[in-house]
Amino acid sequence: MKAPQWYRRLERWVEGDSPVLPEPASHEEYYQEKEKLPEERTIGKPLLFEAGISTVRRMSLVFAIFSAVVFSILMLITVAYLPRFGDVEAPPENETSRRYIEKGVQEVGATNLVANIILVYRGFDTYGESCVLFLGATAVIMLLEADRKNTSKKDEEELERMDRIDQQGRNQILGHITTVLMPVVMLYGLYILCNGHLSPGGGFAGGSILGGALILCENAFGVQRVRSFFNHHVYHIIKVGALIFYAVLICYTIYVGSNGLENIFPLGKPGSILSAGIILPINVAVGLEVACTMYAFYTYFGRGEL
Amino acid sequence: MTAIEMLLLAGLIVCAIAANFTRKLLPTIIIYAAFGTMLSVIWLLLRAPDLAITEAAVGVGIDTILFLLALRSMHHMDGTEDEE
Repeated sequence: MKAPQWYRRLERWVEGDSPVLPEPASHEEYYQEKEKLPEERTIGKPLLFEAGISTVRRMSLVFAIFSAVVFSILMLITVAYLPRFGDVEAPPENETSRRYIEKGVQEVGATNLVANIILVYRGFDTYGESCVLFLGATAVIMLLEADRKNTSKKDEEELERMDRIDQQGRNQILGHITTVLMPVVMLYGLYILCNGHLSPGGGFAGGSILGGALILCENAFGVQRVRSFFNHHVYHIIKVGALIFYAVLICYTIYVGSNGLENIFPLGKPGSILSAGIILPINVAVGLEVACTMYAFYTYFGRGEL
Repeated sequence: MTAIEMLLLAGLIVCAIAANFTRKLLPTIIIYAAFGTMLSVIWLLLRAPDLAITEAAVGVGIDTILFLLALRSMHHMDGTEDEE
């Protein structure tokens, strides 16, 4: 059987006859080569591709299928070792969870036990996560922000075209449906936000719904209408203010709790809307922040500015 | 396990496979949204309403919007071609 070409080249390289990588080509030759199909190129072709692109593709397909099957089997074996749903002997069933369930309402005051755990018992973790999210959102917005000095003429024309469409009036059906739907969606988001300590939901879910409502509004009525009540000043004030408010509340709770002092936030009667101490204000702050972030992602992605 | 749970789980598997084998990107996103909707109903049936709400709001709503925006910036949707 004839040895493949790459093997013969490797052999020659071992004997010291030729370099293993192709000689660097001049610029003109390189650009001429780029016009050709990958199979026809002679310059700048990696050594592995001497074996033929189809062979490499077939090998990688076989490898992909093989690794997918192996990982699926591994995952299924792992799932088989998990404790049964609702098993009393399962490892998570220990004194920590029992205390959360038995004394959570009495100690923290929210009837939604999940809110008790993530916002008070594990409040420090959740605050760290919020900071990470804030940092991530800031970095993404820095990347997406339109640079006026580095915008091509085509992008500017595109933006102008979008603004013209805004002024002419958008889709009538979307506008009418949004007029009916928007208050309901907003109200539902606020309900989930403010009822986070009583029923499922909370800051993150409610904030996403509010952000979705803002995005719907932008689509139906154009960015100018949204800017009239939500421009970048409002955005910065809400986003930074909410995070600082959250930080102050969490620091106060940790300080009071670790020193055994009396908390000035009353726990109230479990089940009423003004209860559970810091959970309601924290939920509102997180929700506002998430709503701002969602809407900002949308506009920065589309237009590069708020 | 009730009939509706079986139906939803089967739908999840069908959607997950279909999303991979669809050639165009827009149908893939719509199938992914259908996957998220069914998953949120399953969370509700598994008595995790917190997750159900978050999945419906973030997994279906915001994710789909961001994917569609990405498609629009890549000029992969009808009506958003560059005007010559």
